[in-house]
Amino acid sequence: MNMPNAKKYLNEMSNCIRCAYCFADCPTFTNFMWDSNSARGRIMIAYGMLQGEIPLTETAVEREFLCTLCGQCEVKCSAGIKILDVIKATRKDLAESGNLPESHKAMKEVFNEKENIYGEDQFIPEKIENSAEYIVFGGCVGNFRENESLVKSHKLFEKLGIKFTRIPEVCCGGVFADLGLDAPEKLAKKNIDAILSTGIKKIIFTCPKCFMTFKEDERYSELREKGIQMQNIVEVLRDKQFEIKFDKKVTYHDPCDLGRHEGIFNEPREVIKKVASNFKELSKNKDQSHCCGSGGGVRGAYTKLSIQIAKGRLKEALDMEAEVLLTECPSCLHNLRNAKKKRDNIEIKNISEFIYDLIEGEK
Amino acid sequence: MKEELTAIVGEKYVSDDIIDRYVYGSDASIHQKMPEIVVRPGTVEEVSRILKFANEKKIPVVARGAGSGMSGNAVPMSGGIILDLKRMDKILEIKPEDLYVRVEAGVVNDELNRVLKPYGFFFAPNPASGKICTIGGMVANNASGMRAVKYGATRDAVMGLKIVLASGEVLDAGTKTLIESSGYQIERLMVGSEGTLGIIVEATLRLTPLPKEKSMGVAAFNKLSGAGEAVSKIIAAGIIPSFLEYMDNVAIKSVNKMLNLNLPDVEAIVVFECDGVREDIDYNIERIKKVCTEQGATGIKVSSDPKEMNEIYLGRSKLFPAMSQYQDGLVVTSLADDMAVPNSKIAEVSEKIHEIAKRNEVVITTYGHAGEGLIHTKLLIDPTKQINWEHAKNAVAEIYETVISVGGTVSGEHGVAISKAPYFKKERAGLLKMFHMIKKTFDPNNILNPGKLQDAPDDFLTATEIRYPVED
Repeated sequence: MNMPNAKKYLNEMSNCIRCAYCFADCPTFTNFMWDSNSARGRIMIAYGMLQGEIPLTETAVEREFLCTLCGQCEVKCSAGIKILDVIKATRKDLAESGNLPESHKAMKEVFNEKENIYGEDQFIPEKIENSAEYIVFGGCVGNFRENESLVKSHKLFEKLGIKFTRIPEVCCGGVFADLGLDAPEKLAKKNIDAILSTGIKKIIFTCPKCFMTFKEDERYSELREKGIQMQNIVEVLRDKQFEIKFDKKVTYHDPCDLGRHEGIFNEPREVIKKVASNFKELSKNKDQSHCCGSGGGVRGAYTKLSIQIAKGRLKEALDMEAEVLLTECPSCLHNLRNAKKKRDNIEIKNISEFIYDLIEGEK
Repeated sequence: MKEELTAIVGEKYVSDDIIDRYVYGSDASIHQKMPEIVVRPGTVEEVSRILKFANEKKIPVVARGAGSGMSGNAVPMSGGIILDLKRMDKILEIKPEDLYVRVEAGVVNDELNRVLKPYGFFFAPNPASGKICTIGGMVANNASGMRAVKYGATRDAVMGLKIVLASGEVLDAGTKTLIESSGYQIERLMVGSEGTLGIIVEATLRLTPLPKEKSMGVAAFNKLSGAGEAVSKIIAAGIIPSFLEYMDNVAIKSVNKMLNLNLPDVEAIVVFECDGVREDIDYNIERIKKVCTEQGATGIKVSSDPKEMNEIYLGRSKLFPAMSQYQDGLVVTSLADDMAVPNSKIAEVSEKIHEIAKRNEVVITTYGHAGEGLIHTKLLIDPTKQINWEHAKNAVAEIYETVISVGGTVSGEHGVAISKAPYFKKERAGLLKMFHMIKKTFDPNNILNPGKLQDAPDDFLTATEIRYPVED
């Protein structure tokens, strides 16, 4: 198969020594237990297709797209293989030849009409405050699926005296590379124009994926070059004080995009410990954290698996008898909440939402 | 075949999809060959029925755990059935009072130790692949690991095994007692048999009490010979550390590059650990420091801090994969990778290996469980050029010749399978006839992992396809 993108990673594929260390804690391998559903398997499949040793088949496509891109395998791989880059490059080759899950094809079409992943009407704030200190960028999941949580984050900012505005947002485009697709150029342009037109120099991201995309994607380099400061919400909250206390058992799920991919592990814990006296770690935490199953396009294309993975992560919190499971990512929040059964005696919240609710409860 | 196997284990656990066949045709070795089908049984009865069927039809069966073997142990030389045993992952019995645990073959080493920890015990053999390797694979290869110098190899912990023979017959070998003197010890014969005599489906394993404390140290040497001498003199002094490792400069550089550990950039280091009660630990650490100093150590660092010790341990346990970052364009190949020699010969053999590397224009690193005389080497080559493979082959032949000449063995813990078979046959020439007789007795139709050990081809390079993109 002609695979110009994957071919750039032939050396990475050869350097994979096939030791299988990547099996450990891989969300798809532990769910299916077939060797082909692991990072080693995916690299082998990419290599096999590239070298003409195996044909392009539906199974090959499925195995490559089942990965949540959580990055657990890269933590386990001491050979330092850029596994996620290999998988994304392979997906790009597959997508360019029309071999991608139906839901991803549909998403492409959705973007022709609307500019967010759900095909909803564009997010337009009621008012734009150009005098604010911060822009808050909410992201598709926050704006359209976990909006209640996002609104509570806003309200918390107001209580803390953080002056912010929202802007007319479109999708940051970060998900496209995960799916092997090219993000439409106009997305980044629209967001950049909307941001620069306010004259505001600081952005708070409530979604780690958007945060990562703005910080790393070439399309947003203009903002970085112009010195626009970008912070995740936990970095802002870390410097704040809260006059509330909570003594029930609380734990925290590290979002892959915030933790493993951006290296932000301590800040959310510092924030939580300001208010929760009984904070306990999940057994798999920080860079070893298990995935919630929502990433890499898996929630859209393989919903059953996605929820199954989320159930596994939620079970870890239930097993340790935590009463509150916190995270700070609208996608993780959405998936973990979807995995929760009515009888599960646990609350699942973003940290900012949790703190806001506590403050309101105090009243 | 698919219909028959599906009837035994269910559709969900059988695949003849080319993608699965391709992935299951490879392990951590250089070898690659596709099976015809992959089947994942969940019970002893299913394994038995699969083997009965395969034996009747004379279809090869290759058992597989994580597929982390480095000699081609799970690569199906003759196609046939891959028997993936990872579904059989139950811990069946934990009996601290009788000092054993009974597990299914697919239980993962570290998972077993996680479960055993609250009981105050552990299963002692600890290969670097412990996070993913299965007990079945460990028994089949007689895996050991860094702490074998004190706690022994897998064979020392195997009290009993449940085995499915080629015919499908299920046998219980061994006992649940700590000692036995009741005839042939078939369970011992199965250890290291690499799936050629029977399928290991359950193991009764000896438990070891968890040590209370430990300390770890690193001694730096400007001469590899000094490190080797230090190791044999530590053992000769009657000290039994819980591990005693050495790493040469290629290995040190790789780990430093990959893990930012800042190990001393010298010709060799000796890494040691003592465990038990504090008084004994401190006494033995001091004795080790004295021996290392006498042998020319330029610096010795000792730590009892868990974080620091974990970093040292990580450096050693992740050394194999980390070496792939040594130099762009070179890849780590698993060839001549786990020879064992008498302890007193470690320095001599390690130095000869470096001479062999120079002579054959390949990069070779030596490191290993020096306390057990185990020398790991890894050959780093540009895999795209055929000529490099020829150089590697020549180097491998010279290494084994050196090892055998000092009374060593071609494999200390990874098994023989394909890559080491030509030299294994030289080393054990006097026993080959008996090996063939044993194989014939257990597996008259030669269905169990055929073409391995004494039955493997004499040229490992042409025995199977090579998994690397060789251009010419």
